[in-house]
Amino acid sequence: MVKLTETSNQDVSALVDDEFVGDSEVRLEGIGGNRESWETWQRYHLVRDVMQQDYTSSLDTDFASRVSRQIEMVELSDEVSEQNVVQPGAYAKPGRSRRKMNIPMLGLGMAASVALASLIGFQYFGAQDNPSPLNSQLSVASSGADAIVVADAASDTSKNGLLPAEFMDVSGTRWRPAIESPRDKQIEQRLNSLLTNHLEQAAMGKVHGILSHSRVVSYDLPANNEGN
Amino acid sequence: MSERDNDLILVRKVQAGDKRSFDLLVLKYQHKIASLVSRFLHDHAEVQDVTQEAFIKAYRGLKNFRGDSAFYTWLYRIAINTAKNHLASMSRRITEGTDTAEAEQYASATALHDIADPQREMMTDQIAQVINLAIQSLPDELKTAITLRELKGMSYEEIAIVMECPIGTVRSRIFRARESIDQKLRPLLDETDKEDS
Repeated sequence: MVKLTETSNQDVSALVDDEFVGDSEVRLEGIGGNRESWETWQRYHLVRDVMQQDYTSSLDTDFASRVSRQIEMVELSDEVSEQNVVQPGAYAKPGRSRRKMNIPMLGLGMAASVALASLIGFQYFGAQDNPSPLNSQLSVASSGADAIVVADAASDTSKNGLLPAEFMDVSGTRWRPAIESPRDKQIEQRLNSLLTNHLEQAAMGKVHGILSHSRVVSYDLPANNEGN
Repeated sequence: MSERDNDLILVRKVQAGDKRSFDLLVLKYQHKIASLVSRFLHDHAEVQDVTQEAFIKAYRGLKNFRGDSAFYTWLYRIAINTAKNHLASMSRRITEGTDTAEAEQYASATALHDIADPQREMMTDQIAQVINLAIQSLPDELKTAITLRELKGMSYEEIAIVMECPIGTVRSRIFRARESIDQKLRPLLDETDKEDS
């Protein structure tokens, strides 16, 4: 047994010097898999470091084990992060956008649909009959909605079943029904519900970044009616 | 088989998923990297942290390592960049133009702050002392062989020419020198491990 250890340590000594005669790959694998040879490799390199004046007191004696443990933690952390990213309907966190490029696109699609739902509540035809500075915003807000019949001013339903509303705020981000009615309140409630559901779903899916899109389509009271 | 070849063998094994091969690389280069990092940083704890960070970065970057340069050159560069980034994050000034060659030529006059545990400092000194005394007490042919190898970096073939003996004898003498040192070193390391646990 002593002879076997001596032969083994002699191989380690030769490998430390890159002077091993034989299959280095096999022998190196043997060192990695054998605790005794591993420690011999460590001590022979320690002797070298002292002789070459590279030895420092900064490192713990079990530094290599520390590095090994840290690597395992890092790999585990990476695995957990990857699992969180890959969820049906979820969107990639910022910084992980290389993966699942179609997921952010889905998010944009959802945000666009919410934006469209709020935009198509405008009273398009009312804007033409009542030109005003406010209405100049309609041309911006309603761009792309020309093909959608928003509402008939004379009726409270549009041809595509949507409820009437009129764009009110010059900032281009807010709207309020021209005349408050129970149906206007209904719109408000529906939009609230849609936004809330969207936000909740986004939160559950641990979505980041898509919330900015939902904020674009949020609505508030017009500035001249607000105390803030 | 050169040092570069053996390092490459270990690198390929790590790339294939064998983490133990990376342990062998860490054991081989840990003090060299720490010594290099200590040219930039003067706090023991920081040196250890930055050295660890450098090895972690090297591990993560190994999948992209193609072997165009020697592994230790690549590792040294990572260590220097990690140390510089650490200093930058600590808002300290770094001398421009510092590179691997310059860092290695720096005089060792800059002492590390003794913020480290005094007991650890003492143990480190003891380990170095034991090794140096053990070398001094070696028979001449063993001392010559290991000195030519470790301090002059000569190959076994070159040492055989200098010492006028076969390569096998050189291999044997260097091994016996190491074993003799190891016999004195091992009890001290075992004692250190017991104190740490």
